[in-house]
Amino acid sequence: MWEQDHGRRPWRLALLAIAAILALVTAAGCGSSSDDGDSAATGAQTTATTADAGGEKECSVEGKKIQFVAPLKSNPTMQVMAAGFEQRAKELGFDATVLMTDDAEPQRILALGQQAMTQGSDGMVIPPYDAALYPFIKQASAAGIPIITTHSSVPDSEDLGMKQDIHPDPAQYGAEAARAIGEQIGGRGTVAVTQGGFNPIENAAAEAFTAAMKEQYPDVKVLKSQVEGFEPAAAISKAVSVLQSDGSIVAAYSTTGGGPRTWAGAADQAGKRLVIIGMDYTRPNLDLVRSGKVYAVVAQPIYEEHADAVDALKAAICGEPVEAEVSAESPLVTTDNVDEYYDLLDRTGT
Amino acid sequence: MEERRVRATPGGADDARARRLLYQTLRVPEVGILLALVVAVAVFALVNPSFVAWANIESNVRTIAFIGIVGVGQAMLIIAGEFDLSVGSVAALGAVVAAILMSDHGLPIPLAVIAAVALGLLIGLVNGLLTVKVGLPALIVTLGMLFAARGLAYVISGGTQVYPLPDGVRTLSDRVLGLPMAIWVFVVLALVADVAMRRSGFGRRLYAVGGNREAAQLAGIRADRVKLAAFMLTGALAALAGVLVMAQLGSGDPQIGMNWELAVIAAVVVGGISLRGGVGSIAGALLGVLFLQVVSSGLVVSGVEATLQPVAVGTVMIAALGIDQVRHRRFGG
Repeated sequence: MWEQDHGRRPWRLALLAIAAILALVTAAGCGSSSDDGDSAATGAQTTATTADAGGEKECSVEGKKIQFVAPLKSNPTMQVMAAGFEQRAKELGFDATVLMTDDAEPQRILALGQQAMTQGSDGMVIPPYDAALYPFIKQASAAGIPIITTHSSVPDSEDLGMKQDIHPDPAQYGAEAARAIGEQIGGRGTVAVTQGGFNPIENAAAEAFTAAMKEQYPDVKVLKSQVEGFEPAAAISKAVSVLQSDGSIVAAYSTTGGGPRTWAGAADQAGKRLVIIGMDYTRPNLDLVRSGKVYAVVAQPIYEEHADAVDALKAAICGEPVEAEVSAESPLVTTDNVDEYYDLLDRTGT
Repeated sequence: MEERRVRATPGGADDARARRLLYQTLRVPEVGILLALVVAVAVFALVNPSFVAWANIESNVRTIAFIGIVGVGQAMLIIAGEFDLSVGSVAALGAVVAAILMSDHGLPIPLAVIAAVALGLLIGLVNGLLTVKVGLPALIVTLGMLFAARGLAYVISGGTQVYPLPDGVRTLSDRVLGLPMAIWVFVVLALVADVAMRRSGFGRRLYAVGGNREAAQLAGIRADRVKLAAFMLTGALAALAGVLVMAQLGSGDPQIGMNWELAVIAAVVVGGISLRGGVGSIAGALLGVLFLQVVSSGLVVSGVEATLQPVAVGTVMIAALGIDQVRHRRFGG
């Protein structure tokens, strides 16, 4: 019977199935945590207030048009960046717009950047996470638009003409994590290191961690870095294998945001207590810190970085000197200061 | 001729029986991968005895439980002559949908799980209809679904983990008789699927359709229905695996199931299932899944450099396939 009338029934079935999938997914999507995605996308268009917070009015940027051009509008990390930009821009009186794409495709970012240039821009903040964005940064700078790049550093070999490159320093927070772990384990034992993948930032953090540990705590053995990947179940399994490879492991450092969960899960499965430091102050990670399963997470200053980038734009527009490269501090979040970061997440609605 | 020569020697009858037994054993298709598995475990245990420590065994079994559940469906589908690249993304979507339904919408946990599995079933139906009825290649259809389902998982979760989940979710990852629930689900599913493939009419139809579709249709088998059922089963099992990972993690993470599609297909092929369809078994497929997990874990436990591990995994996979091919040529099966 199926074969005889397959000209019609399959389509009806397919349509029914698609409708059912859409209904289910829509039901899940309605009221989910993503309801703030559109607001980030449509742009802030914040109305400038006043620019005289410090009481000095020698240079006003009131009404000056600036844009934050970035990928992944629904990504919580990107939303925190956008919030830092918007908040500071509002305080200074800029006419600020957030232009973000759905995905990480650089061509779409370029299109948004071109759109901003066409409509008029007095300055832009751009995370240069992909080299494909470099020509645009160079073009905009050459057109006299002050550009501040954030979060990902631009290699020294690239002369893009931006006013400032502000980014966290993986070597700094890698070394800081080594100091904290070394102290917690009393300068003895073995430490495992994992990365989400091999990339320049994670490599730098892992290398700095190892070097700093060797220098400050020479009796601590640091294992060679392993790749935990980004699939959570496989990452935990890999971490358990790492724990089995050396019975003297007493601590773990991960250079990726999934690391706290990976190592807390592995320690649970292996029945071990570890001093764990990982990346990023997401809510699940903060809960792991608060519960004591994870000692600390590295807080890349994504909010402050983007607020500072707006300050740098103001300075550039006003013709004041701007430091070409700024390394943003990445403090550790432990039980002592975890509440500050819950507050920050609450403030930015993420 | 061989047997005559053996009989001519003292104790030849015993030797002949032993040889016959060995010959018959080597004809069993799963023997190749089983031998490779035994060798791998032995080598890694020799290099580092903690490889066979209980925590490592349990962690490996737990990991293969998730991929194994997907592997059961994928094995059936490949035996039926098709394959599904969207399983990892469907797992993520199932996990995220279940998590949101239970945490944001207050749906009871069992209903949220059923809804997620039903979603997987429906995605499988769409994959199946587009492939089997419309005639689009499974590669394109399921590759498209891979992107679509993963994208949907990101969109409805806002790109972040759905967290926290209701406390009751932990019952899905509780231990039963000393082992996590996911392992029991996997074991029961694997046993049922293996028996079904060997003994049931559905199993025989899958082999028939995958082996020779035209002949199967001439024999009165509704090939399209059989393939559709296999697609739906694969989708449902992928979503179920995603839900079980979600329960273990305590959050609905849109990154669940990342790269599962290739890992599962590689594992079932290493386990003796032909990509052309009609050949293989659930037991072989799951041995393949276990073998690749053992190799991945063993390389870490043995202290092999992280950069060299993918090279080693690829080489071992090809070697295992090569050994099985030699066994197949010499002994058949």
